[in-house]
Parts: sequence; C-alpha cells; structure tokens
Amino acid sequence: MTDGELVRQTLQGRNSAFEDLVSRWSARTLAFCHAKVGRAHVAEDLAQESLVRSFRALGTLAEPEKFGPWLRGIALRVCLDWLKNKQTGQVTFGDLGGDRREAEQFLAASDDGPAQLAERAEQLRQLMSEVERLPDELREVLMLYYYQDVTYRELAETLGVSSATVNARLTKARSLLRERLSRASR
Amino acid sequence: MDCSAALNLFDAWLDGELDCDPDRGERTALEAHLAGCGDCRAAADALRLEDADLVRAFAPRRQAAVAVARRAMEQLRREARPPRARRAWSSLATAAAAGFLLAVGLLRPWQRPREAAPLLIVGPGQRPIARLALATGATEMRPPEGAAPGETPWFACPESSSIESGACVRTGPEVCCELDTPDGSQIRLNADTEVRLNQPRQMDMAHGELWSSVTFDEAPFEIHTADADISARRAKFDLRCPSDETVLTVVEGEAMVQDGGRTRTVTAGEQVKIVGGRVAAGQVRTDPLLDTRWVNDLLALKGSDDPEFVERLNDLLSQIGRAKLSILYEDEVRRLGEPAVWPLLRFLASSGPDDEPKKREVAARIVADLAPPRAVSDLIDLLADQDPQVRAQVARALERLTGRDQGRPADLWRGDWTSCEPTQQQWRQWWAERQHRAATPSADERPVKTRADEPMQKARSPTDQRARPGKT
Repeated sequence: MTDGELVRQTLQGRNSAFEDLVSRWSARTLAFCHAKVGRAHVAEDLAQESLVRSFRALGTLAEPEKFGPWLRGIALRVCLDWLKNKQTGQVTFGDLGGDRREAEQFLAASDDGPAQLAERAEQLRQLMSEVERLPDELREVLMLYYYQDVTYRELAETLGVSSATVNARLTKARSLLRERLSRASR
Repeated sequence: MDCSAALNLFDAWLDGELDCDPDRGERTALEAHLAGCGDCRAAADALRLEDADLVRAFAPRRQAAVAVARRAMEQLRREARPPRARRAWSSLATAAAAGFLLAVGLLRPWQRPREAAPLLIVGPGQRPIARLALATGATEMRPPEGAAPGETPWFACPESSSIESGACVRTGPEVCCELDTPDGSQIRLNADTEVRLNQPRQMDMAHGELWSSVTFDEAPFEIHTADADISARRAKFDLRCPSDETVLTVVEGEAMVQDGGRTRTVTAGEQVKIVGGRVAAGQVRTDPLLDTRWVNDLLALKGSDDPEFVERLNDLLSQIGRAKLSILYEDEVRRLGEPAVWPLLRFLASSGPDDEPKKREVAARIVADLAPPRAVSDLIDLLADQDPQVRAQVARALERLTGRDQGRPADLWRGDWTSCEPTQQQWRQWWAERQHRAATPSADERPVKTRADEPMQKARSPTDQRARPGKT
C-alpha cells in the first residue's frame, strides 16, 4: 500500500493505517533528526514529536503521496526549533554516556569478557561520535543508510538527488571516517 | 581494470549496488581485479570491517527507531483520551481531516482495559504436564496447592523436574530454560519470564518472553497474556510481553490471535502487536532469526548433533552475504560457539570454491576464530582448499592454535596453490609426529563428511557445553 493510500485511510479514521505509516517512516525520521542535531537521544524525542505533529496536521497535507518529504519538512522544523532553543553547551543528563551504555547493552549479547566488551563498546561509541561529526550532507546520507535497509535508489528519492550522488557521498563519508579514526588511534 | 577504477567501485560493490546493473559488467571486472591484487583486497577488507562496525554501531539505533514509533503511537492514544473516559483517537483523524478538532460523539474505546491474566486459578488436577528439559541457570517453580499469589514459596527446579498442572515456572535474569510436554511440544522461557501451566496445551504468561514449538493436535495450544489470547494447532512462535502489550512473532506455521472478538491468523514471518485484546499494529514482516536469537543459547547447550541446532546454523548461514546486515547473522553464528565449528568444517570440506564463495569465506573466518585444538587435523586437510581466502583463514586458525606457521604466514596462503602445497606437507608431517600427544575426538565425535547439498545434517559435537551461561 502506498503512503498516499495510508494517508487517505487515516483521514477516514482507520487508526492502523497511520500506525503503518509510522512504522514505515520512524527510522528515516529518527535518522534525519539524529543527523540534524547530532545527539542520538535528543533525536529520539524530536522524531517522536515530528511523527505526532504529522498526525495532527495530516489534514493539511495537499498531496498524500508526498507524505515522506512532507514529514521530513516537519522534522526539520522540529529540529530547528530545538537547536534555536537549546542552551549552548548544555547537555541533558540523559545524553551523558547514552551511546556507550547502549553499545554495551547490545554487545552484552556476545561472549566476550567485561574488558573486551568495554573496549569494543568504546570503539563503537567513538565511531558513532565521528559519524556525528561528519559534514552535514555526508552525515545525513550515512545515517539514513544505516538506520534501515534502503537501496541507493530509495535514498536518492528521499533526498531528492541521484543514485550516483548517494554513492559518492557514502564513499566520501566512509573514507573520512576511516581517516579520522585511524588518526585518532595513532 | 586498474586499482584506481577498482577503488571507486568498492563502496557500491560492498553495498550490493553493482548487482543492479549486470550488463555493465563492473562487478565481474572488479572481482577479477580483486582476485589478483593484494593491495586492493586489503583495502576492500578494511572497508568491509568498517561497514561491519557501522552496522553494529547502528544496531541499537535501529531498535530505538522501533521504540520511537511505539512511543509516538502511545502519545497519540493518550492524547485522544479525555480525563475520565477513553475515546478513539480515530476520531481525531477525522477532525484532523477537517483541519480542526471537534468534540467527537460516538466515541468507542481504543483500548478496552483487561485484567492481568490471573496467575493462580483453579487447576483441573495435579498431574505432570511438563518437564524442565534444559536450563542455563537457576529456574524456579511454584506448586499449585490452591494458595493465593505470594503465599506459596518458590522452589528451585532442577533439570528433569516434573511440573504439575497449575504450577508456575519462572526464570531469573540471564537464565533461559526449556520445557517439554507429553504431546511433544516445547516451550522455552527467556530471562525474567513467568508462566503458569494450567493444563496440557494451555498456559498463562505473566511477563517476559517465550518460544513455543507446538506439535499438531486437534485441541489448540493456548497461551493467554494480560493483553492477548493466542492459539495454534501446529506452529513455532515467539511471544514477548513488554509493559502493556504482547508481541507475537510467528516463525513457522500459523497462529490465531483474538482481535476484539474476531480471530486473526498470523502466518510465518509476520509479527503483530496486541494491546488490550486488540491487534494494535498491522502484520509486519519480520526476521525471525534475529527476533528469536535468544533461543540460540539453549540450542548451543544441545550441541551440534541436535537437528534444530543444525537447522538454525544453516538458516543463519543462508543469510550471510545476502543481507546488508549479514554481519549480525555472522555474530549469531559465533554466539553458537564451538559446537558450530564442526558443521562449519564439514560444510567447508564438502563444498567447492564455486559453491557460495562468500558463505565459505565467512565460515572459514568463524572457524579460524573458534576452532578448538581438536580441529587441527581437519584444519590441515582444509589447507588444500581451492579457495585462497579459505586457505588463508585456515592457516590463521592453525597459527592461533599451534603458535607456528611452518614458515608460511597466513597471508601467503592466498598465493598460488603449487607454492603452498609443500607447506601443507610440512604440516601433515608435523602433525603425524605429534598427534599421539593430542586429545583427538573419537570417531563418532569427528565431523562426518556428507554431500555439499546437505551441508550440516550429521555433525556431531565432541563437547558438552552445558556450562555456558545464558544471555538475553
């Protein structure tokens, strides 16, 4: 079922249609917010807010097939509002070490000992930290790519660029990451 | 193709995007170049490792995206409820369509709150209806003797204990267990799970996560949670009860779920979320292998002669090289531990370099990391593999296990076979002089070689893995 059909069914009162839209778009919305604000846990709140706002404003969506770009516009406004309002340098308590805890929890499913787990979690935290420091357009494409299974073509449609551009940006992003991480480990 | 052109294609190749345009022949040309260029192969390996790290780093973020979707829907439902009564947020959708909010009449509740499944109801009698077959740690049982919750103490439940009708079973943190029932069904409990076995083929689940493998019977197998009534005649499914919802994932066959008075069928590969007796999220396709990976700890205890273990390993391997997330499947194979080594060795020995080379390379890499000393003899045989990548991984395993390389480091095994052959002979000779000192598995413990199209049907495990701790 297309986005447009789901939007129309939602407007007719079918709750599960909007739930399907949310399932389909939550990863991309979160990736977009993460790329914009550079903080994973803040991005979760902002993505949630974006999805909720999209429901409230669904009646104003003129072209239901363009739900994705429209939702991206909402997420952009939500992120810009947050960036404008946040106090410079203030990090919420929840942000501190969040990525590291998360990585440790995920890795805890492996058979490594505590020391290796901690080291591995630290490596993944550093990697995510470098991802968050990539230039805007590289960060966005990399996050969209790894937050969910998408092809270059789908990414190109989401971003309004060509598949070749997606390829070039992903290549550049990974290359930059390798360079920075190898410099950091020296 | 020169190195510069190859370098430009690495990312698209790794991402599986070169497959999209086979007519251009880029993939074939690149792979031919890689076969002959060590520098480019090293660069491609570095990129592959980086990609694997990125997949791992983003795995928790993907889970966060699912949580965001759930929280957004919960927020909408909350906002749709007036202070004293619940009302349908569907009405808000209609209001949103009009561009403003109306006081909506004809409100129907989105969620009809239900009482939590009672854990102690009157049982039909006291007779064994299940047996604790396997556990990764301490499992507890509470007998049924007509007591109210909290009055009857919990007892430690050792393996092979019989469980009476009406008894409750629970697992603690990081412990999972498996119950067998007389009809041949199996129930596995993940960590922090509590169930009550009311009667044959009927149970209540208070919290946690369980896996059921239900054999066929006219009487359906029923599981009730606070939010859901699930039944199946023959199926494998996973049931998870986080707060205020039940998530059903069907792995094989089909299961029925009650949805506000109607019965909905959920088929293999589908997942539904049930809130308050209604299916709250559509049937989404899911990956049962990753969604139910917690059962791998129990399968690893059973060892590599268990058919389900072998099937699981085959299923995991079949995903390697296909999916973008294949590194996650590789991680799961590793979590199966040493029992996985024997089927993998046999797969390598019984398949050729043209049989799914990517899968063989991954299998060799896992073997190189996990193989125990008992595998040395099989590894020396595998040094003659026709695939240079496999040879290099096998040589790495031998280096790790013996601390020697016979003058040929692992990387050099990627070279021409004629230059490698004398070193394999040296390994054979070295082993012939020492094997009497090493503990080797007996004949029936050694991996059995079979046809490549049945890669893992008869493997045996030489080890008893029962000490392995459980993970969630």
